[in-house]
Amino acid sequence: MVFGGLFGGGSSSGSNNNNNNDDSSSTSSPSTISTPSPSPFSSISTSPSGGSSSAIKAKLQGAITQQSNLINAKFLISKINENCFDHCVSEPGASLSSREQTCLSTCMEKYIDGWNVVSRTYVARLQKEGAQLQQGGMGGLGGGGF
Amino acid sequence: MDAGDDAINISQEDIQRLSPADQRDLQQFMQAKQQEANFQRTIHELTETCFKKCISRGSISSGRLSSKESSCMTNCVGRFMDSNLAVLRHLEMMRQQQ
Repeated sequence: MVFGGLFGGGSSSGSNNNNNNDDSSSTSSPSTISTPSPSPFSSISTSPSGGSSSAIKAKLQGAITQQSNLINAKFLISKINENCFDHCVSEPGASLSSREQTCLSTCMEKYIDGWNVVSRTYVARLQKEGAQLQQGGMGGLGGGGF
Repeated sequence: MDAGDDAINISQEDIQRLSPADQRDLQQFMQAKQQEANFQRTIHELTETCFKKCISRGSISSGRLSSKESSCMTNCVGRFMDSNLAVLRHLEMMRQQQ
């Protein structure tokens, strides 16, 4: 997906990313984040005290990136819940009807689609304003900004 | 958000073993992450606001945005930011009149 990089990884290009195995899912877009890897916490707990300074740094960065991706995913899911419940379950019955369930699935996909549109538009706008601010200069937000 | 619940399991000694250069690196890293988080927060808020405006109740039949909805979302982001600017400008004007 277009702005997959926003969900992590994106801005850490400068640092050494030789940390553990936790980067596998960090470049996911909302659509893949909705199916998180089975155990997001597993690689956070670190092996008993690890060697050099740079290894510790890498470990910390990996853990922080993972936490921040997790929070972002949780937040998106809670927003989807709120908004799609609002849309799809107007009169809560004794159980979810199949119509409501279908609606929830469709709504979720639509919401994620919307998220992508908003994020693309927002980034484009920020870049445009950034370019206007420093017209004549280098222009733009320097690409890797976010 | 409840980020603090899942403590990162790295010992105090580990942290004290960090070189000054790596400490600086980490600080920068944290700043970048913070910025990224703020940025994503804004996108979440905007998505919610615009979703409410652009997708009318009980009309969800496709998992994709229709072209009409999609352009509504795009416009919504633009106008929201315009409004933001307009409010700030007006505020500035009020401040100057005092």
